[in-house]
Amino acid sequence: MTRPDDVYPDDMEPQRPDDFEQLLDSQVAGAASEYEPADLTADFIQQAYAVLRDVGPPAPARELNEFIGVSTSTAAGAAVGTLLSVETMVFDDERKSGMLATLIAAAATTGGKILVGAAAVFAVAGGAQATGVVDFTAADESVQVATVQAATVQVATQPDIPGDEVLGEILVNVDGAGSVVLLVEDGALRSVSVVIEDGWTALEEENDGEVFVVFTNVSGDEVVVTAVIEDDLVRVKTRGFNTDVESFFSVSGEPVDGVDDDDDGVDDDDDGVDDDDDGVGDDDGVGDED
Amino acid sequence: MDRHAGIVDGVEDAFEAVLLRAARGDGLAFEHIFHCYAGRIRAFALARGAQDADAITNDVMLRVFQNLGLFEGNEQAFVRWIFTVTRNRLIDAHRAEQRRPIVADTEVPERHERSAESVAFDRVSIDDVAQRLGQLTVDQREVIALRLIHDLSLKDVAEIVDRPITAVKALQRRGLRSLQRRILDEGVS
Repeated sequence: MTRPDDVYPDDMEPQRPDDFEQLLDSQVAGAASEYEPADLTADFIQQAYAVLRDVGPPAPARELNEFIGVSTSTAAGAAVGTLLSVETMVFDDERKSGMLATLIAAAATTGGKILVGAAAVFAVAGGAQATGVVDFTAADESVQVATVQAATVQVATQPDIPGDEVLGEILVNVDGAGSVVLLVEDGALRSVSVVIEDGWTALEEENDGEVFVVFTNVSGDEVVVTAVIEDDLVRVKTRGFNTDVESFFSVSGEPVDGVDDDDDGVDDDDDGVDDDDDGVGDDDGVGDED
Repeated sequence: MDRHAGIVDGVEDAFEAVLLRAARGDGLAFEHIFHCYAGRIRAFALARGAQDADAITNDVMLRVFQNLGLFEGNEQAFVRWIFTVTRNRLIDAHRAEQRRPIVADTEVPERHERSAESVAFDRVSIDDVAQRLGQLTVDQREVIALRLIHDLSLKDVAEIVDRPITAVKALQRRGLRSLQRRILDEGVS
């Protein structure tokens, strides 16, 4: 169907490359612009692109309460009630099957953080200790620092389930986005809580012994945490922006450093120290024993 | 092995899982959809000049939630659907505003025009973007906004605005030329 405003005199001109169309196309495609910053129109398009993507959602209207089961209120009282309902969801039959993704969404606390998941309820109630900690900086892509430390952090009390052998927890802290607490229980790895910062959502999935949690914000930024037990070690990989960090823990939650995971006989950690004590030096040209 | 590739595939599958759970009435799934898309819908409403972008966004989300059980398709189709719903809602709102009687002495105060230089060197706000796009026709404005807001292709935009791709390309071209002309004019003045 042709509408009256579909055809303008300009449209009668033959199609030809248009500089600004190319700019828009390249902006949408994420490619770098070939225009100088002084080009004001190009500058506006680039800034509009960023500004429009920064627009956050409005407060949900009351009519949406019928659908949105979790309150986004910051009232503490509402938070506790919400967390209890979330706990029920997290441990429903689907979660136990370990196959279907568990959606983690909002339940705000007075502290401004959103606590979701069963352990979040325990975190409200009291404290316990995580033995392994991963700090991952997601907010600034120029920062590529991750630390693994044998710190003791108050995270959550353990679920009091008779017969469960709780050995230790691993806290994966994704700065700016949230955190994940992992636990090895009866030889199986699972996440016991996911904490989400304002402006982020998280999708958690457990599949064939692998746990992964994807943090996403309204701008589409994504940080992915994956964890799996390999060779009696918990391998935790955190990936976001240009940063990719891998850490290892024992099943009791203790951090393990300098793991060469690929069985290729080469010490990979490039720290100048031959870790394997096998009489063969690192591949940096300096052997530890000749 | 690129472990991330598998994870990305998993996320795509997870989107379908979200839709399935929402269709079954799962409140957390609705919350996730709201969190992921309401900001983009609000941005589109603001860029298209809506007077109450928040109310329109909530209304769109309500309509989407009410009809989610009828939706079939992947995430890209879902995006096209929600922006089509948004555009229809914006057209309804615009018509309703036009039907309202105009009362004398209630003109909206003229906004302070920013110079081209200030736009170039400062980070612009959403109001600045809306104001600048407001200098275009509604059709030009929505095509450019849709392309910027969600990486939508010309084909996707054509489907959303229910026009041929050639018409969408023409609107985009005219809109960009108009922007260039106005910005340069302000720079000269």
